[in-house]
Amino acid sequence: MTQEKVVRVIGYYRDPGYIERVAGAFRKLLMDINWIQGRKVSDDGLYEIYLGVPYTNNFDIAIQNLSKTVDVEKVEVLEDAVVTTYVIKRDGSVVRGETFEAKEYDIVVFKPSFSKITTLSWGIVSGKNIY
Amino acid sequence: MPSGARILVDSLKREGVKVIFGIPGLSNMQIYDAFVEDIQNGELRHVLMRHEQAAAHAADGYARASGVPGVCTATSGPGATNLVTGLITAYWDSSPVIAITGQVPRSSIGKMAFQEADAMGVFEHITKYVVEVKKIEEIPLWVKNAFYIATTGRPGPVVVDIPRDIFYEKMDEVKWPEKPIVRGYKEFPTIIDRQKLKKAAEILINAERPIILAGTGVVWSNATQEVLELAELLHMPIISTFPGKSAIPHDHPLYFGPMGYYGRAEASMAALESDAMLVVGARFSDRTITSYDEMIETRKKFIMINIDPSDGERAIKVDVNLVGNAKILLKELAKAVIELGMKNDHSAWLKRLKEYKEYYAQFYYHDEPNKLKPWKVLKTIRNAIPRDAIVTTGVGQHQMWAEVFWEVLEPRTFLSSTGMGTMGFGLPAAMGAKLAKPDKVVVDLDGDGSFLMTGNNLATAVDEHIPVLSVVFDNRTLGLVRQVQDLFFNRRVVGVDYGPSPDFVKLAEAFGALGYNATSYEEIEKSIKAAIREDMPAVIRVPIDKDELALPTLPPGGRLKQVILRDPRKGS
Repeated sequence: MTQEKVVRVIGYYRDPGYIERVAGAFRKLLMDINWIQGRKVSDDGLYEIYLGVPYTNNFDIAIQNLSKTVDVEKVEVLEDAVVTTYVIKRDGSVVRGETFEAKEYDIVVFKPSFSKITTLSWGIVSGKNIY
Repeated sequence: MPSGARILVDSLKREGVKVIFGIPGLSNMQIYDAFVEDIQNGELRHVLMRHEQAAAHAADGYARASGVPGVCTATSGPGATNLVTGLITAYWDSSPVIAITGQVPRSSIGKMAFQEADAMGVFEHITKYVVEVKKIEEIPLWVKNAFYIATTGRPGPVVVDIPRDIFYEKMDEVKWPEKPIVRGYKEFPTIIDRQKLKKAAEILINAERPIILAGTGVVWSNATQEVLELAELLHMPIISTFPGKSAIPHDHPLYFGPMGYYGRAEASMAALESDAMLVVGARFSDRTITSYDEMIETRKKFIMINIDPSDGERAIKVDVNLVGNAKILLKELAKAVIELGMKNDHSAWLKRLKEYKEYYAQFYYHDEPNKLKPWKVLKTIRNAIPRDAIVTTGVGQHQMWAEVFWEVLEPRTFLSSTGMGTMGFGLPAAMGAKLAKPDKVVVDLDGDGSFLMTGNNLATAVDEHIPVLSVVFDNRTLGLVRQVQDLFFNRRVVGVDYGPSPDFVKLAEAFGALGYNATSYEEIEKSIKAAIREDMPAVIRVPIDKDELALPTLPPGGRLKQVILRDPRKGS
């Protein structure tokens, strides 16, 4: 089974082209995106995107390119991420479950748990353990 | 109260812009109205091109020749989309170009308005950055930001798309930004890591066969002198990538030519036989290093100096990755070498490379009666123009001949679309280069196929008095494609041969340019000298045999060692 890598991208949203360019970094290297979730974090446009990306040989290049994309502040690879899936039902209840358990209009949230991050920002790579 | 258009013009002037290449239309004509007086008083020059692709190429040629960004403008819709090829050409060759595109009014965007194109969507993946200005207040800062983004880090083209209703708005007071403010953007650092510099110096000093591979970054960082000084200090040879050819004077005794797919065989052999390679301002492009395995198998040490830190972590693992400006880092590296002291005498290594050069020369310089040989045509042109003349090329066999045989004698005098391989680059880039360096002779080495892609801009060259010389290597075919079909598709040549149209001399004269049909080397020399004297745009048509091959070359997907030196159609 193909390993899934979880990536967190922090950047500045000026318009939805930002999201296009984040996704484009993977598209241009023939990669897929299993899931993507994001939101505006602050009023001045700081935007956080999480992606679940099936690993390929192009992963490192895609991440490096993304970390050098104008508007992108940094890219974090959550190295040891384990993803828990939560399904928010139509009635608002939240259950821990698998994606196939979600019905139409249920929202699925992917919550990565991780302790090790590799950060790339304009070509500079740094790593840390967060625990 | 200045209008948005006026603010845009003033913003460009504040960035030092003197020339704008473009075509006006519904969505950018307000800019033109705003700069009428600037043109009349000589503070700005506008060059009306005949196609927006050429406007982008001209801005690109201007940037490459001068070192400062070139500026082009187009209207919305088809004007903007016509810029695509020109801008991706600049992007792939890391050239700073600013494109100002008009856009339909904000209230019309997204509603399939007349001449509307999604400029953001079109350009976001083929330029370094594209920004849509949303209100008049943003113009000064985003013009400043555009120049900043285009010229820092790895240089590249930036598009500023402005809805035309903003051009009509007015502002009470303009706040001119002191500095750019681009969130989510950082200049690549120059890191002076003493330990890494020492390690790099040790590798070079201890190597028996060290070599420098110079790339485009040497040109953009103006580091030619530093490369030569380091090479002289270590008594080590220099080769280049194809675009890096513009960095090194070819008459320097330590320079052995460009390596790669259509490069000089001795340069490629030198690259393979070296035991330590200092890569300066180059990435490991597939046209330069045609087989990564082949290079890795040499087990040599690699040192890379590159503005972009991640270029040292790609296909080939680099032993020492020095990040930053080549000019600064080469100086530091030279100091580190001096501190450690020289160890090896590289005379034997250099002698070997000279022997390679002499050996391979037997394959390059064949002469044939009654035929104009490309190497000799180029030599004739070289001898007829000044040392600091600037040369551009189109794309095709003529470009490959220029790669092998054109002698660059001064840095920044060889401009070619090497990354994207864009046919039609030559003439408009030459025009841009001429405007950047008006006192230099500028020659476009072109092919008949390539020239006609943007040849209509000869009209602009005549009208605007931009006296460039186009030498058209006329073999009546798309020569490089024909060559590949001939050699690697079982001689199944199809869809590449042109007929007798056009007569290039009559074509040139129809545009009001000088036209010459040069059927001998003497006529080539005479035509060039006459054209320079006349100080007019000129086309010199040089007939080249259709069967002439661009050699050396490699088989598709081939390794450098598989270099083809002789015409395989004639047997061994």
